[in-house]
Amino acid sequence: MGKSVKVFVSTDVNPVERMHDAELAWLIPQCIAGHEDAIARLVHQYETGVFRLALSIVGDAAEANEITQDVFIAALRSLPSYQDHRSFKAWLYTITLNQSRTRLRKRKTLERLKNTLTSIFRVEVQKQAAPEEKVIQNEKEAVLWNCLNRLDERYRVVTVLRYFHELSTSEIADVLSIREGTVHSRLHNAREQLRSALEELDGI
Amino acid sequence: MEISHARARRWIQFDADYSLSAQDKEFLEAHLKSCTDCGQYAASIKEMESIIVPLMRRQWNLSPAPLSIESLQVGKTNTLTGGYLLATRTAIVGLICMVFLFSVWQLTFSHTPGLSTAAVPPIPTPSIQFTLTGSSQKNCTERSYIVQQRDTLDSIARQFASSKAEIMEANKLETESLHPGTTIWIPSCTFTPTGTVNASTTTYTPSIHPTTSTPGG
Repeated sequence: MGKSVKVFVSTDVNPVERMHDAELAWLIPQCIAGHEDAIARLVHQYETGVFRLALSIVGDAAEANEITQDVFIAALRSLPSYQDHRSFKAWLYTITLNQSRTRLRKRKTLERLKNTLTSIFRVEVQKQAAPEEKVIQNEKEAVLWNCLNRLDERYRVVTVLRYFHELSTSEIADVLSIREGTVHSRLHNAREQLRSALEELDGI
Repeated sequence: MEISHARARRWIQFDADYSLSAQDKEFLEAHLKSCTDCGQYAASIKEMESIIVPLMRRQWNLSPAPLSIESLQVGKTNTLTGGYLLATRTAIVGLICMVFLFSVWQLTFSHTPGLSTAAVPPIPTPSIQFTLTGSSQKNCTERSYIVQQRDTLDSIARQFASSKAEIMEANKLETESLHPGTTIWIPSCTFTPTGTVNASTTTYTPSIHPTTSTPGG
């Protein structure tokens, strides 16, 4: 496997163009100093990406909004400790991912608690309508979406980062703090599972 | 360059990661031209991608609710006071723990009464005395043995249920060193008592005057 010649077809998820390193180098100290317009600029640049990452993990828009706010609060607080050598986006996405995962875990324990209570007390609990279902248009999409959500978390996360957020494998490795080879193997594994799910449908 | 099907599939995967070099990509294309199976594999991956990516976008291409910068700043100070609150709480909890541990330590040390410090006369172990009246018979057999290379007096004694002292006495040995090839006599003796054995025990009633001190309150 040779060194990559990246052919990026960029239909960028985040419509705002990438911030240059020079601008970031100036912006970050301003934010640390507490200048509101600098903070506003930084937030505006990255809030969509952060929000969409959170959304792809937790699935709920309201929760994703809360996570976005928490992420920027946390990021502003630990901005002094941000090291230059790492991509700022990757650093921010790591915070987002950690926050999202914590939320998801809390929600899961809450769900389990609710289920236990309902089974003990036989109380009917209103089920929240899963918002994802309404967007599916055909059977193939249903199969792939189902397969994606059934994937092990580490395979699903790399798939979403690669296909939805269009991060490069080195960026993904940076965000998740894993080696690039691991990213490749997880992507291959996920792709194979999705592909065979589709194949089963075709009855090949 | 010809490539195997396994390699082609691996390269198809790397290509999907945008991690295939231009040269390897050429080899892959050449292979795919002639191999229908691998071509099918590549096509099925592309199909999967073409379905999943628009689907993800439809699900998640929402925009976030507008964030007020003030809320972020306010959040900052809140966490600051929250930090002080947490610190005081931790201090209080720590203090309670220390008090608790201290009282537990006090209790364990004053649990054993003053007996351990007072002078207690040691309780003598009751003894049983055997007195043998009569005699016993000693039966000895002797056998000859040729000393081997690695033999020692101890090992030979063990082998024939004898003792080193007996062997030395029987052979009038002055040292413990043996020469391989020499013949020695090994006595093994048994004792059978022919008399009677009397046993008597002496009992003691220990008198202890413990000086108890009430445990410190």
